[in-house]
Amino acid sequence: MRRGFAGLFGRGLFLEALFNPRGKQRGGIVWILDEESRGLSEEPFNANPVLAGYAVGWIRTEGIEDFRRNRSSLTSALGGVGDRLIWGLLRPLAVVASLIATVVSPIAAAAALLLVYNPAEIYLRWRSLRQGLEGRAAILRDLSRDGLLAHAPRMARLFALLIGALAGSWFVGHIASGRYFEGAAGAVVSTCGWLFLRRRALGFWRLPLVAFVLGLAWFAVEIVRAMTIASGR
Amino acid sequence: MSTGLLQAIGILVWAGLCSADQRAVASRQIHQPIVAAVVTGLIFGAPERALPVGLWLQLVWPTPMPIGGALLPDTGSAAIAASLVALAVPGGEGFLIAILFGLLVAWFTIPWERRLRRANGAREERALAARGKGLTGAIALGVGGPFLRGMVAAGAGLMFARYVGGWIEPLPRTPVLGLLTKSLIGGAGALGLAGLLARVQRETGRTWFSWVSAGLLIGAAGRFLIEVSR
Repeated sequence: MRRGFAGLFGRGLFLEALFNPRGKQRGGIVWILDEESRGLSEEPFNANPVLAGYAVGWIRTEGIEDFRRNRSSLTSALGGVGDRLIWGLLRPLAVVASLIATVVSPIAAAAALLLVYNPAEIYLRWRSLRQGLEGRAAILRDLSRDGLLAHAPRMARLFALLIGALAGSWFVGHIASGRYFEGAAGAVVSTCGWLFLRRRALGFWRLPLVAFVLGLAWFAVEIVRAMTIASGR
Repeated sequence: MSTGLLQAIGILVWAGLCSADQRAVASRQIHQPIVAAVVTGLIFGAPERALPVGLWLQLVWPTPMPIGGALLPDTGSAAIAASLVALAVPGGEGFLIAILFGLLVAWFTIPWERRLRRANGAREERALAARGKGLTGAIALGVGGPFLRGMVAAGAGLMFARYVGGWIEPLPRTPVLGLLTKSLIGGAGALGLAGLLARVQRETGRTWFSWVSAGLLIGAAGRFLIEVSR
C-alpha cells in the first residue's frame, strides 16, 4: 500500500523511535515507506530527522536503487543543512526567546520556547516531504546554497540580536534593582567565559560542574560581602 | 508538598511524554528543562517555584547537539525530578538539593538510553528478518521504553520529595542560604550567556558584534521601560 502525504508525514514523527547503534534510523524509514524501502534493510540510514522527508520523497519518486546510489551524498547534505538550521540556529533561538520571556512569567518562558520552535520546525518537516515528493530537481534546489541555507544568515543575525537583548535586559534588571555587584560580576564572568568558550567547547558534564563551582564561588563572595556590610554597621 | 492521586498520575504521564519527546517521538521540545519544569510546577500550582530549577538546567545545557547518534542525558526527566524536589523543599538548600538530584537523574539516564538503543537494534533485526512483520509493534516498544524511563525518573523525584524532603523541611533555616539560589543561578546565567555568545559568534561571522550590540541596546531599553512602568 502506497501511503499518502498525511500518512508519510505522521509516520515521519516516529523516525527515531527505533534508533540504534547499527541501523540508526533504518527501522523508522522502513516503517514509514513499507515495501517501497525494503532494499534498505541491509544498510544503515541516518539523516536529520526534521529534513528526512527529502529522503522519503527521493525513495518514492526516484526508486530505491537510485536512492542507494546517492544515499551517502544525500544524507550528508541533509545532516549539514538540518544540523545547522535546526540544532545550530532554530533551537538556540527558541531557548534565548524563552530566557528573555522569564522576565514576564514562568508560563510565558515555556510558551515562548514552544511557539518559536514548533511552527518553524513543522514547516520544515512539511516542506521537506512536499519538495521530496516533487522529485530530484526540487530536492537538490532546496539543499543547495540558495535553498534552505539562504535563511541561515538571517536566523544567525536574529540569534545575535536576541542574545544581545537578553544580556542588556539582564544587566539593566540588576542595575535597576540596585544589585550593582551582581550586574558587574555577571558581566565579568560572562566575558571571561566567552573568551574561553570561543576557543574550546566544554563537554556535557563539565558545563554543569563549572556552573556549579562558579555559583558556589559567587555564593562565597556574597557571604563575605554580607559580613563586611554587617561589620561596617 | 502533598501529592494527590491526580497530580501523581499527571506528573508521571507528563514525565513519560517529555522523555519520549527527546528522541523517540516528534521532538516538540517539551523535554527542554525550562518547559518540563514549568509544567511540573503548574501541575502542583506553583510554576514560579519550579522555574529556577528549569532555568538553571536550561542555562547549563542551552543547546546540546543530538548529532551522529550522540548519547545525551534525558534533560526533561532531570528537570521534572529536580522540580519535584524544589517544590517539596523551599529555599536555597532545596534548590541546591534539587539541582544535584536532577544531575544525578540525568547521569542515570545515559546508560538507560544505551540499553534502550541496544534493545531497539535487536527488535529491528527481528522485524526486518521477518520482512517487516512486527515493525509497528517494535516502534511502539521503541516509544514505550523512553516513556517508562520518564515515569521512573518522576517516580524517583516524587519519592525523594516525599521522604527526604519531609525530613529536611522541618530543619532550622539560616537566612544566608537564601543567597544560594541567587548565586547558583548567577553562575549558570553567566556561563550560559558566555556559551550562547560563543555559539553566535561562530554562526554569524564577522558582523556578530554589531548585531549583539544592537540587541544589547534594545534589550536594555526594553527592560528600562518595564522597570520604569513598574
